[in-house]
Amino acid sequence: MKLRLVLFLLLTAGAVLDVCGQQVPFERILNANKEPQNWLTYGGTLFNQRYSLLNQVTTDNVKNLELQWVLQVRAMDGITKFEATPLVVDGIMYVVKPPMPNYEVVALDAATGRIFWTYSYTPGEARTCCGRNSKGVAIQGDRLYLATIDTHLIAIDTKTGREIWNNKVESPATGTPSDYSFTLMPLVVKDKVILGPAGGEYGIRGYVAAFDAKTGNEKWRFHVIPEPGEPGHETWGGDSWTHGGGSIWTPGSYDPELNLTYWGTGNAGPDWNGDPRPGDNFYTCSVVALDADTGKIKWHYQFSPHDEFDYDSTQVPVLADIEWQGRQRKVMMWANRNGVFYVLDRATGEFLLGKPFVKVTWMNGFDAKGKPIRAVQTSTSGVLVYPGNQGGTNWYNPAFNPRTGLFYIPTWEDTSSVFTKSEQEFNAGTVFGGGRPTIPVGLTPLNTYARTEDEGYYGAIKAVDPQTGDIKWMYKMSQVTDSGVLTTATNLVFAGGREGYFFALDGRDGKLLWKAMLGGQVANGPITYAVNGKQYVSVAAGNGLFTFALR
Amino acid sequence: MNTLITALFALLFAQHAFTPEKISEGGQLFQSNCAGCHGSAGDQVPGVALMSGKFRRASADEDVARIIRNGIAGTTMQGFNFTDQQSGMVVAYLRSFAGNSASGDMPALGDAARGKQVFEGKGQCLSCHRVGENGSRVGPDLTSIGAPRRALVFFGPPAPAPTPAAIFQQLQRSLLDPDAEVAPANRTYRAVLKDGSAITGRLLNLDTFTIQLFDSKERLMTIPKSELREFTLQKSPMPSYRDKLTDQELSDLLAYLFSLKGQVKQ
Repeated sequence: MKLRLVLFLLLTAGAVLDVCGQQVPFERILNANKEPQNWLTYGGTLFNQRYSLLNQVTTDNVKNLELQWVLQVRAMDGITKFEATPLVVDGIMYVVKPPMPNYEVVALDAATGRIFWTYSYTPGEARTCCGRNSKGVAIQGDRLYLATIDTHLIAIDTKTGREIWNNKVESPATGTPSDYSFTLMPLVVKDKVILGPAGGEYGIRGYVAAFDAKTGNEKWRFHVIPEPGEPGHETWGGDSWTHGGGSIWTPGSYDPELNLTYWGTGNAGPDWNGDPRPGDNFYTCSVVALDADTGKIKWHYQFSPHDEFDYDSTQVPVLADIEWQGRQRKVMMWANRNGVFYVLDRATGEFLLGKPFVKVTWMNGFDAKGKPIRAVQTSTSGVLVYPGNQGGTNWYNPAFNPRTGLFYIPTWEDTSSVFTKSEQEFNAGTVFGGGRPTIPVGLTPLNTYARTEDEGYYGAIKAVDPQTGDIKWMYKMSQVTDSGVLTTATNLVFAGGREGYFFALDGRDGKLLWKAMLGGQVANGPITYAVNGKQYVSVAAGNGLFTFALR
Repeated sequence: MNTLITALFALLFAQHAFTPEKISEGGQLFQSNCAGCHGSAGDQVPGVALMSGKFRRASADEDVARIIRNGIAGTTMQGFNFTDQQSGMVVAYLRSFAGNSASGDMPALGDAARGKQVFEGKGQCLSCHRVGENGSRVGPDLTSIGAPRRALVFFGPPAPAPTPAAIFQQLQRSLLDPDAEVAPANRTYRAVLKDGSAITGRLLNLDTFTIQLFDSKERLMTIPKSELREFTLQKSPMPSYRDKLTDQELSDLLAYLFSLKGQVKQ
């Protein structure tokens, strides 16, 4: 037994020790698609397609998946969810547990679930609208990078779990420090760690900032809201720009050929009353393309100008090099919280296509330049709008499969809110909402309530053809979903939902191939990886991370 | 309407006139800063139930607010860097869960003891309902039907607890017009399976693949949706007592139902 244990540890550690010097130099992240046994970024690669080339699990044998191990986390409060995407490097998984009350970053054996080390950090005062969430740690070299709800950026040794440095990120002049929080997985580009703050309900002024991966020193900062003298400042009135929101709470993507990093930005503030901020409110509810070395903006596209419906564009940008309508193009695909699916040219920002993927009433088509034509305004007596405040989709990641050519979106169909605006002064440290939406579908981390109607709204995984925006198939669920989607070279689509099911679909037609009841809502993006030639699929549900493989 | 205004006024007065928006902000502060240890329902620390006014070292609002700002030395309760206004909003949020004692336009109640006799005798209520350990489980359990239940709200201030008058009116409506408003968990459905067999019961839950029923024989059942031929909502099996009981009997019965707060002596 003892011998077996030692042997086992040697074998597992062997892969790590093989790599002389840095464990994960940036070249490995750049070429992550060449090592599909590992999962090195939020979406698998810097293109964030959440597409895996692993092919052991197929549409024929996926029914034979069975549970291998579970990682439990502490019971969560009424709103926090297990949102973290784990990373896997050479047989070691790195995952962060939600701070209840302390963060725990664990390194574990990806084949057995046994823990090698745990790093703990207890955050200080933090104000989060929607739970003490973390979408994961990033890796580069021999370090993991954890961004926390009290705006610390922490570097952790991948082999020992020791803290290397722990920096409080300086907060901007407006707001109070605790209005800003980090809930995203940072993005590593070359020698920099890039991130931004959540806090769109607290009157922050959002930013994307890059930090030296070695020292933690800030290298550049792009303010989502332009200051006086900068282009785009005219899209704000008075001093509204100083507390206009534009939060960042999902990771960006990176195109090495263009050296551009792409980030989706959050809602303008106050959320539900645009009167104090006349204009389009650049660059909220947008995607911004930034020079990865300087943070200078190259182009932007605004999905929801002058937003009043909380339609954050905090979705992870999905990049692909595909033939689009007969021409090879560098595209970006985007299923937005506002209910519209977009294809953009990511070299120029040119609007190529926009088409609703759920019921949408806030807009009515696009003008010649691709700007949406707004159909409704909020009012003090309330206005009914589709999709509702929580959106047609949200931060949970979509996936793109180059083999099927389809883009898979976790959707909330037929949800609406009545938006009512009210006057509100900005007061640092308090909610800056300017009104209220009705939320017919609540936010709940666990499957603790009963659903007794099968009518009205529902959740669905939808497959969209990026050539046309048409929906090719839909897998309908009784309840909505906060699950991300994973797709593989064997045409599989994995996802889950609030009911607690985790399932596999045929990516070509949406047919259900396999399911497992996990007893809590799926609220992260599934990943797949391999250890010693065996493919695993891992997903978080409720208070656990569940890992499957073929029996 | 008058009831609502009275209740609202009483609520505001009790909470030092914090507006619903401020109470909502207090809720956000609480859920962001306090729920990590206390739980989102404020009852995770042993011996403390913040939403029910159960504190270990405080009773007045001012004491609670001070503890929020200063913490409790020697315990894990840290002080929070809140303004007086912010700590007051958190307290107002906690207090907003307390039952409201405003009487509104509460009508005079009948005699609960006589009402119990109607309930168990002429009304035949126990043939479907249960109180404590007596009666059937097929209909809704009435053991605490007279206690206030609060609607769940996300984003925004918690719904105020219903006033006694509102509880009374709801009971009255259920007796006289039982189909007017049936809570989702109490709705009766009839399922016809593909083999032709039929099951009637309350729909407890459903998901993408299955439905969960509590049938008329007190069985907890799951039925795969794939086996369903028909699945239809039924009228409530509860009869109207409008013409079945005298006004006095109805008044007594309401008094009895109103007295059912969850503590039932056998």
